[in-house]
Amino acid sequence: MSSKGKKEVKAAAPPPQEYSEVRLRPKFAFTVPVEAEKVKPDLFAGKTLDQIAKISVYEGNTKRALSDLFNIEGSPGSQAADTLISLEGDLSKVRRVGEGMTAGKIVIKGDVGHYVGFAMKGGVIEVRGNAGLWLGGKMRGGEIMVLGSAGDCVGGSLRGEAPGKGMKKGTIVIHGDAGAEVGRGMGGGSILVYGNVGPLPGVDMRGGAIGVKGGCEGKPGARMAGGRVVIGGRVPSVLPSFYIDEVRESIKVGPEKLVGPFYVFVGDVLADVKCGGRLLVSIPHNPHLKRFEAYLEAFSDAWA
Amino acid sequence: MQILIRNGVVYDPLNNVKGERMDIAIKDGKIVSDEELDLKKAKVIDAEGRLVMAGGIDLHSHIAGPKVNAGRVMRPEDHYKAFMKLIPGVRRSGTGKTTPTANVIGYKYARMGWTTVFEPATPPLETRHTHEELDDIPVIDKGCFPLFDSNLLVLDYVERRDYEKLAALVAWIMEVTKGWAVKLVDPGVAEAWAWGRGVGLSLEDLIPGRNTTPREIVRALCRANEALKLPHPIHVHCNRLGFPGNYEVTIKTMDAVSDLYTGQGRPIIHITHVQFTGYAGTTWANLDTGADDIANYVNAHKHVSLDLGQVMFGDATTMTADAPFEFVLYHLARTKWTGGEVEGEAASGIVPYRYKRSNYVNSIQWCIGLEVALLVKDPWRVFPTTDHPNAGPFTRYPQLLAWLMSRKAREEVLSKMNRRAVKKAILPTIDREYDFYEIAVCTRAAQAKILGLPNKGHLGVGADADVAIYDVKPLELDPSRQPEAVVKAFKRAYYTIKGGEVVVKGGEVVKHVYGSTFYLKPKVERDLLKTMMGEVEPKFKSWYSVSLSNYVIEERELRSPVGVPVGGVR
Repeated sequence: MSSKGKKEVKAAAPPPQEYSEVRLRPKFAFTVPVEAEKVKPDLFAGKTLDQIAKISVYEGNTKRALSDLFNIEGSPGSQAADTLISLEGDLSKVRRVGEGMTAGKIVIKGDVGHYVGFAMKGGVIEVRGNAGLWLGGKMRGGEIMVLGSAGDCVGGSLRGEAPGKGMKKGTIVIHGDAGAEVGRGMGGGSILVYGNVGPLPGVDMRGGAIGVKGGCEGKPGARMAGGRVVIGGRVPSVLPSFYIDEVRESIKVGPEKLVGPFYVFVGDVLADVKCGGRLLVSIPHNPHLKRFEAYLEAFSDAWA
Repeated sequence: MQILIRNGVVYDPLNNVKGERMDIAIKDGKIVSDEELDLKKAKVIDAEGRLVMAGGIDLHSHIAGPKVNAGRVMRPEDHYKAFMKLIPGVRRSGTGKTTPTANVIGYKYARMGWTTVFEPATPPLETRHTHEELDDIPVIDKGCFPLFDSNLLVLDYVERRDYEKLAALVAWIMEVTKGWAVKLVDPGVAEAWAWGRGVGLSLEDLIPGRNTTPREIVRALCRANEALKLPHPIHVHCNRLGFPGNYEVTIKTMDAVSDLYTGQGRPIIHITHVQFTGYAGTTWANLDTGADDIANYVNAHKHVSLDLGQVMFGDATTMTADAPFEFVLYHLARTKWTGGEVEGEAASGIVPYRYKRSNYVNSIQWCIGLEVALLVKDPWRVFPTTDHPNAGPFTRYPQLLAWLMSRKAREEVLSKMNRRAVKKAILPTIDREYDFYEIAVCTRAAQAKILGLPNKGHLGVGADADVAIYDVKPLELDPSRQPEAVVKAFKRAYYTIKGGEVVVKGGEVVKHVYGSTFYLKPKVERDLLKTMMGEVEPKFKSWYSVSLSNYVIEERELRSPVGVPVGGVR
């Protein structure tokens, strides 16, 4: 397209049938954070185990070789796309696993720390446990699945960043609960949470979709100016800067179709008077929001 | 410690040295003549024909103070981008790109060969904080300019036209806050802003609730400044900064004090970041350059000096005591905004901003700065700054110097810039290129002279041993053709020597030292001071939330203060 070739869209390669696996297991219980941003298929592919053992990671403020901290076995694939890294054990102190990865797969069997899949561009991460904060923060593509729960700021932008600088593409599916500020500053992509979420899902959102099957602790969609937030369970209240628009039966978020019926609110007028954001709240779980129906009828009469 | 710099190609305008091969001898933190050196003890640095200059000076860079700190707090995203690692025993750590932490500021200035920097806006009441931060900045010598224009006590005297007592008040505030020069920010605007007004306040407008105009404030403070014989002229950020068509206000401001010029040895008004106040046109859509008119005025009048506030494309954090302008900018930029207010003295605002080449307004802004620098004929009265961090971080100075030195470098940017802006700008028609001598003038000698620092900015015997050696051979290199070499050289100094100690070697910081803080001790007749204080004390008691004795910053509160006695009232 352009001469710089920035906008060229590559067709996603189909995932390989067989991955060649590298297994990492902690040698001891970590007491300080381990910065494992170099644990990703891109840096493992095409290397021997000895080379992988020498990859440097920080344990607290000390530089260490990967083999100082982990038992490493298996063999990586020739390319990132056919490399699988599996981590097993208590990894709750291990951060930034799969940061910026572009292809391949990471499977984490156990709890893991913060920033898993931060700014990842492609590939798959599977967490068979709980994940920490900023799961898939600033994600640019790929898939993340968590079987347990996740912390705050799933797919979120970092503190201080402008709205829309969070997750831009890709899918995050969380089978448990998620913390506060799910999809903070999100610009695209989709997040699906089967459990409940903390306060402020979709804060500063500019695009994309967040689907929550459970309830929300409050203030859904605060300062959103685009995208949609769907809450399938109970919300304590809807912010006064949202306006009711219509009633809708169902909506698709990422891979899943969520069935309502839902009240559809538009907002947040404080972020943008155009009210580009859509907040969908389940009708059956929120009888206390019935008062909004009066406005629905009043307006439909006025505009008829 | 003794150092001998051999075979450097020295540019030292104050001593009339224009690129001569010579040796520089350093002993006990001072430049000495070669004979005084004990060659057996001295460390010899062979410069091999490299460029040698005095340490760089920056008279306008927001490096410390409450609003700088607020900017840091407000922009965590700025601090993910850049960090300096701790090297035990050598340097400390720090982060930040446009709002760096104190250590990073010191190290990055030193790495570029700059050794003296002044913080140009600090509300007197919060200057204690400013000094605490300045004390924390390593390597460089520093000072700060207290704000005077919206101070209630000052305004009272301006209204009453009591210039004698005003001078005494200025002298007192200068001494108790340990400041170096009189700073005016959009004169009178913070007072108007306290009433929720003041957006676009012009030079002749009446200040709300006051029987005076910004013009009167500028004139009165200029009078006081000259009566006290302070080393630096009044340092003025003009009214209507950041509004299209403001170049006329800038020229009027300069002209407002022209009759007060009676042949003082230096200009009597310094217009700062003139790029922001050099806009012609009536709206942002038809913004045009006012650089030629400003340059013509400066060329014809000796009482004015300028600094640029050159826009550097990329990230910036605008922070100024001009609170209403930041309010306007926030509604243009729609990012985030902090507003501040200091009781009875000043206000402030901070808005992050990103200058883009594709943007018409930003491109015109970029042109205006360089046009002023190139159209003003006298390099002794125009200084390259970026008004760090308002128009860009100070770390971009090497690029700015390269643009001044090379038309080729400017054309490279012009070719990638907003086309409509290029058609309107004067810059493409300007051929002038600075040489190394002029660079030495505008970044060292002239700034030392206008700040009134006799031991800085030159390499004569007796000067402070602040020396920068750059990895570029001026006798062999044509900066006009190889601007990249200039950028590379100025980015990382080959050696930086501060106070006779090597602090940077091969572009890396090798030593953590602390510089001094300069402040003025203006002389005032005792009786005058007494009458003035008799009037000020009751007002102070009823207007301020602190007591007078807590307002005074003691010398012992500063790490290494250098008080300079100056002048006196008549």
